[in-house]
Amino acid sequence: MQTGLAELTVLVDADRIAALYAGKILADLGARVTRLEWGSATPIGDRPGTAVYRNFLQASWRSLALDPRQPASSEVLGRLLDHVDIVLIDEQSGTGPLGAVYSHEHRAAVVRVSDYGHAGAATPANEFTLQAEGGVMTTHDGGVAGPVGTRVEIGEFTAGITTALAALVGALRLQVGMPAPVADVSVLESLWSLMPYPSVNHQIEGSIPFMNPFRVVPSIEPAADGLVCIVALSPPQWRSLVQMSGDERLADPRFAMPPGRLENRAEVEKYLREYTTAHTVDELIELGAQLGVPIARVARIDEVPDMAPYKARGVFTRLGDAIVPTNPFRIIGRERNLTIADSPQPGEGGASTLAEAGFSKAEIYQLQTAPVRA
Amino acid sequence: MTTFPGNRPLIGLRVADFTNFWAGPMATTFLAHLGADVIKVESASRPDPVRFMQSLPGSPLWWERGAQYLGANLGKRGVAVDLKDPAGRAVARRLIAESDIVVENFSPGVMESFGLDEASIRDLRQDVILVRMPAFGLDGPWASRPGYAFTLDAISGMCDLSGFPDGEPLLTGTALDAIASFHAIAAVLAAIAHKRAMGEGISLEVAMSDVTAQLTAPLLIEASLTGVTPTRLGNRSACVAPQGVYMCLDRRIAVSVENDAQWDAMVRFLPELSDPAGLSTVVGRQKRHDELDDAIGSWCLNRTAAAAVDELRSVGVPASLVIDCVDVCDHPAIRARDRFVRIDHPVVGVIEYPLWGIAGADPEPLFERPAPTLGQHNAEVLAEIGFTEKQIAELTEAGVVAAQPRLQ
Repeated sequence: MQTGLAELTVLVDADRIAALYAGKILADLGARVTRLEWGSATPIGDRPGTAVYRNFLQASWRSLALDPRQPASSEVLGRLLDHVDIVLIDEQSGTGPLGAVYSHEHRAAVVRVSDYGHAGAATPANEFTLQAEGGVMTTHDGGVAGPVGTRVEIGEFTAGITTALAALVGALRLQVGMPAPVADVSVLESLWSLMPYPSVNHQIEGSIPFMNPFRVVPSIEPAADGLVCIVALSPPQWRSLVQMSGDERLADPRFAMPPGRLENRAEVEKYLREYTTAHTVDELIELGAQLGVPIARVARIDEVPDMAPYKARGVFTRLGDAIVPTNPFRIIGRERNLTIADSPQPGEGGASTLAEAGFSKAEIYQLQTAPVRA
Repeated sequence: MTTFPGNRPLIGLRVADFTNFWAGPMATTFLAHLGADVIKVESASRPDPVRFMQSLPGSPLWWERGAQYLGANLGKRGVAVDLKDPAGRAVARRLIAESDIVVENFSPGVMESFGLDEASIRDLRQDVILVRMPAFGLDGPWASRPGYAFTLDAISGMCDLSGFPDGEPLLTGTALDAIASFHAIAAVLAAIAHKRAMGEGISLEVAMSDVTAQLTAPLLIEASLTGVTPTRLGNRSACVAPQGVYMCLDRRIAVSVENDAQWDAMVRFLPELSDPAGLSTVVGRQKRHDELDDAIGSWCLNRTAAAAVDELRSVGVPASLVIDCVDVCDHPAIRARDRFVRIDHPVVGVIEYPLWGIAGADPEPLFERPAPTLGQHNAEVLAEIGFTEKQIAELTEAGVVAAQPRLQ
């Protein structure tokens, strides 16, 4: 995407998905992103698609490979930090062999992402346990079976986009001559920021106690040939749904507001499902569209690229044999670039990164031919 | 009232905020957080619908008490203008002409119905930044459909992958609203950088459907490469084992053994397991997951959740309490970093609001004011954009601007 971010240079010295996703977002917005690699290639996961996914995140990036055992590497990194605008690191890179370099004062805005924040707890955690601590499991409580995590790595994604925001704020500060500080992103706090209002709600006198509102409209209901999600958040939407069903029993005033529907969940569900199971998914979606009730098919992941709203808009493309999403940002009125480049080989594009950072041709040649390579 | 430093990076920028519900307002409140002057535009006949959520109908000023509204509109000023009235649309046009940024999240066609299509907006202010946040995109067969986090959850494949294998798919809540919101903020900030560098405003589209496609990418890539469609796994994982939620004496905990070294550390707690050698690899543990769940479950039932988490963490195994979303605000890690701002609101009083997941910025972005009451800043804002006292009085008399909702 051609934006003013084309002038923004980003160095990523991190391996966790959050940092890579942040780099991808900045690249999608036009920044020039370079991956710092230490000695060898990017670690590759052992699940099918994991390596491809990491490649996808780093599409169109450049790579600079340095050997941490060589004394010159610290100097190279230090000079880079005085030139690039943004550096994304995770807790591991901040404490790695050259981690001390990041603690020195540099021009670059440094954004650090970690489980609990840089000054937070140093306890073992991962996506699953952070979802448990961050309240995510209870917002879609699995009923009698108990809390359940989501397969999407929502903690890493949320921390990733939050990291990108911190980087952009740093870039804006640099643009107007303000010093760019070290920003500290916590995965736990990022997860919490997805659902902050329950903690606000209980402080307000006279408010409806927070409840899990996602079980009785909005809810998942069976149709004759599949499952649908039905949304009736507002009173007009509920009235339209009642009208659509033609079932006077659902017009009972007890069901008019979500708390009443939750309290009488079994009854509401029975009446509603009598209606939904008598219709196909497509019929329900069409009727809902006519009456202003948002209804959608519950799709399998492999069905998604062929669904009308995605396909018609070119939301997905191919990277080799894999189907991947295109840039989530579009400049209105301009053609969308559907081509996604491969991620760089280790060191590919390193020379141009160094050249932009002010290294002379002779210095780059020396680094390329010496043990520290670009 | 919170004090705040004067060097926030968006000070001096005005935002005309035509957003409602959750994703849009969260985006623009972040801009206020960075110093922008955000003017939220509502109308008496159609206040932001999120005002009415979690608030008891009939309680005094109940439209000012919704937690979601209050949290997602911090730091803004508010006007209530009837955009169906030509005089109201004139106010909106004047506001846009005096704004650097316009953000809207109506279904495509609504802004156009107010005469505020992209070309008209750019006619009013050539260098304006316009960010649109439709649910399903500005074009395509579903463009005109209203979308919510729930329906996006359903069509993106996320819902189908959430829940237990033998149960129904589960909605993942309103997380998609917030995630879409954060992407829209990124677009606005990039557009500001673009304008500062290039001198031109740009129009950007950030569709919720496009954002959700980013979240499901790892699973879609896996499906497209292997031909195997991922399914619901409950609390288990395709690549680590054991993993699950277990009941202790007092409450539940989550445990996730990521690798063989962690398993070696944990297995000492489970001496009754037979053939431990067969459990030394993740494949072996996956095959005997039911047995491992029973053993871990029994171990947990003999201790409190806090004790179990401490013991597991002490040997390097990821473990945590399962915390209800209402109680996350009291998590020690969040309290220790004081990730809150306390602001007085004229109706609900002093409330503690959560800050974003970014700390350590200097200065820490903060909020100058609480969420606006409906039409709270009508006179002040209209005067700033050039309306005379007499004109404001006439608009008020005619009901074009108002400070009370007209509820049907």
